[in-house]
Amino acid sequence: MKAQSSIMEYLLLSVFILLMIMSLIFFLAWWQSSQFGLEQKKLKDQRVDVLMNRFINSPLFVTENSVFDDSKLQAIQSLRQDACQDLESMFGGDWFITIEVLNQHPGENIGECTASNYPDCGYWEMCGQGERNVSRVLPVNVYRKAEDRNDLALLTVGVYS
Amino acid sequence: MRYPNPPGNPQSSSTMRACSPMRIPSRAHTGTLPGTGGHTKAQTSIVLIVLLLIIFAALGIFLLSLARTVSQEDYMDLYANNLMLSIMKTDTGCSDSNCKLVSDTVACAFILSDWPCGDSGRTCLETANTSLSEYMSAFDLISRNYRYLFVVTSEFCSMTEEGCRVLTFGDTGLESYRGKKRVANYAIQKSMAGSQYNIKVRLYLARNT
Amino acid sequence: MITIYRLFQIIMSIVLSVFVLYLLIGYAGDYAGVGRSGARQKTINVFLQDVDNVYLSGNPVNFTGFSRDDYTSCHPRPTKPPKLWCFMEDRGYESKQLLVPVFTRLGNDVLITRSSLDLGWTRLDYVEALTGMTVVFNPTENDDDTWNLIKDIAAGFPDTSGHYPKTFFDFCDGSSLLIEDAAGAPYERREFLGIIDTNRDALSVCAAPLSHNHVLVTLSPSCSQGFANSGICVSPPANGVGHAYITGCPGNYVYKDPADLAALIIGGDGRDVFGDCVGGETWEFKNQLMLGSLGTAAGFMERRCGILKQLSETRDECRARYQDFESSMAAIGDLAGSDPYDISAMTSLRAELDNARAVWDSLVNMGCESRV
Repeated sequence: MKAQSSIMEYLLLSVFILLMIMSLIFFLAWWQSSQFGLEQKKLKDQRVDVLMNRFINSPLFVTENSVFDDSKLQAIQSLRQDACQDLESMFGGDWFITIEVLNQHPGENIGECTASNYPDCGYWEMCGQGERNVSRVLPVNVYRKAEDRNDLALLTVGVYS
Repeated sequence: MRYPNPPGNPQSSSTMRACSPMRIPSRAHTGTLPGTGGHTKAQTSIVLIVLLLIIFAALGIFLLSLARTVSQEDYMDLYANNLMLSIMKTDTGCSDSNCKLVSDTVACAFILSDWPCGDSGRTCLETANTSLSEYMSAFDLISRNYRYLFVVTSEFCSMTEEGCRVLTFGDTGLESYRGKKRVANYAIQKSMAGSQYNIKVRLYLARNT
Repeated sequence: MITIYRLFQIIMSIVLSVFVLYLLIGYAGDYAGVGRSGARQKTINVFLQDVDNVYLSGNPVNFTGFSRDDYTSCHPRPTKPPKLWCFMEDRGYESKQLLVPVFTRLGNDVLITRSSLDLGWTRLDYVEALTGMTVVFNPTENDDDTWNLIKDIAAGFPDTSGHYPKTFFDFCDGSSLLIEDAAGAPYERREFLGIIDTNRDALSVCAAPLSHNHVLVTLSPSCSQGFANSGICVSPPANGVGHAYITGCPGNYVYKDPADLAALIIGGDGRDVFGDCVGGETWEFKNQLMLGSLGTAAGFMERRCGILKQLSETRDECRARYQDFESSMAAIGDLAGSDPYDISAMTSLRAELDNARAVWDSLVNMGCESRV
């Protein structure tokens, strides 16, 4: 009886140690996969940051740093997929940007811009596709060519998962 | 262990030794009877194992949280700087050249606060106040999570220097706030009433507590 | 006698040790071979991150990551998509897709700088990553076209004052190099451009011994394959466009802006492990990216002009100029898709770019546009 109970104790201890080893294995596997996931997220965040910095400085979109020209935005948006394909060779693929004017003046609209309502609009979206993305926002200006005026706006840049 | 010789078995004097106390083996080495030292060692081991597991988990959570913080810092610095830049460059809606942009209005408010802004019926100071609060509240991230303070000084004066004019817009409690604050700077060069002014605007942002 | 508890301890210790050793050996086995390759790949990635940062900010950066390894060659290749290819110890490494035009001449110490082609209505940036080098000019004629070309070439390189490593400029006359400052070194860009206007002469064909850090640029109307002893041979331009040849390499390269010449000179007359001319590959890569960007920019501007012409707020005099500018952008968009080896297409492109700049300047002067 004494011998049996002592063997039982050791068996129990062995089981716990094996459980510890198993949990260590699972922990390492989880750690590796979470590190991988974190690395992927970090790369996506970095890509969003690089894209954001390129867009706010690119003469294709802006008149000066962080001041978007509404006529340039309108031109690019009106070209739709053709523009996206051209921009992919310069900026890579699987991204989107939106620019949304925030301050509405009396009698003016700030809805989505189309071929018929420009310049009485205030929202542009380029290369949008799908839902799952990593995105960041940044305060910028939109220069209104027709009114010779700077409006306050929000730039959203995202990359797709 | 040696037992004293029974009577009738004399031992040689060279091997005669004094009796040593009898050594009783520790029960823990054999771990025989429950309720004695055996359980204590096993329980200690189990506790150690559980402690190790908790340490691993805590380490993992700590490292994960650290990774998230670093990339957010750079982004918030860029956000703060662009927030300052974009607000200063925005039109106020006023046609007077001293009040056209927010930066013009802020500079005018600093130099001549009672200057009338065109036909609006408001002074530079009032226009600056209205524009800054309206534009800052347009950003959800700021209006929901942050307090802000704009501090306007001459470029050659520091905020704490005696005799320096200082103009503020926003939460003046941030001046004495000792927690983490983000800072963005903007320089304005303005000619007004025949003189040239170099004005410094500083934006402080702090998370709502 | 060994106790049961002691036996238990020994067995469990062995189990744990085997487990830990298995992990360690497993990881070490996986990464031992990959480790050095991974480190080299990481160096390339970090280098390209610095290139991206310089492209965005314009602030020069000094990069010393390549000092740890001996790269046989490392240059952009005009593949689809374009990538940076490096070779070291019989192994090749390729980067991710290159989105930024970068010309490389790498070494232990590299200065990464940004230059621009200012077209008036837009700007095309490119990056130069250079180890210490000297551009040695050998003009065989003494005329304005030649000296203006030398100025254009020098302007396409970075001014390395206050930075390291340096890009120097020199002249070669027969068997000697001419420029020596008080410290015995040739001039950097600013000093070099300062002396060009006052010291002009035709020089004899260069026969001076040059190190691998020197790149000889011969300027002669007689340029052809095999004319120069080494480096690049550039014939004078006609209407801003001309031919250039790389010694030892086939190919009749057409230049239309300083970036074409910078790509040829920085790439040089060496060959990579595929046997391709590095200068030629760099030039093709430059045109693949920058002509593509030019075509895209022109297409967007053409559409923009169409929109602005129809706006009621646009003044009539602006409307007429937008019409001219729209036609110019359409022509540039078409020509940007031409073969960069085709000199007549590139001559037409250059003419349209000059015309577009003139129309843009008039739009700015009339108050219809602001400077980019």
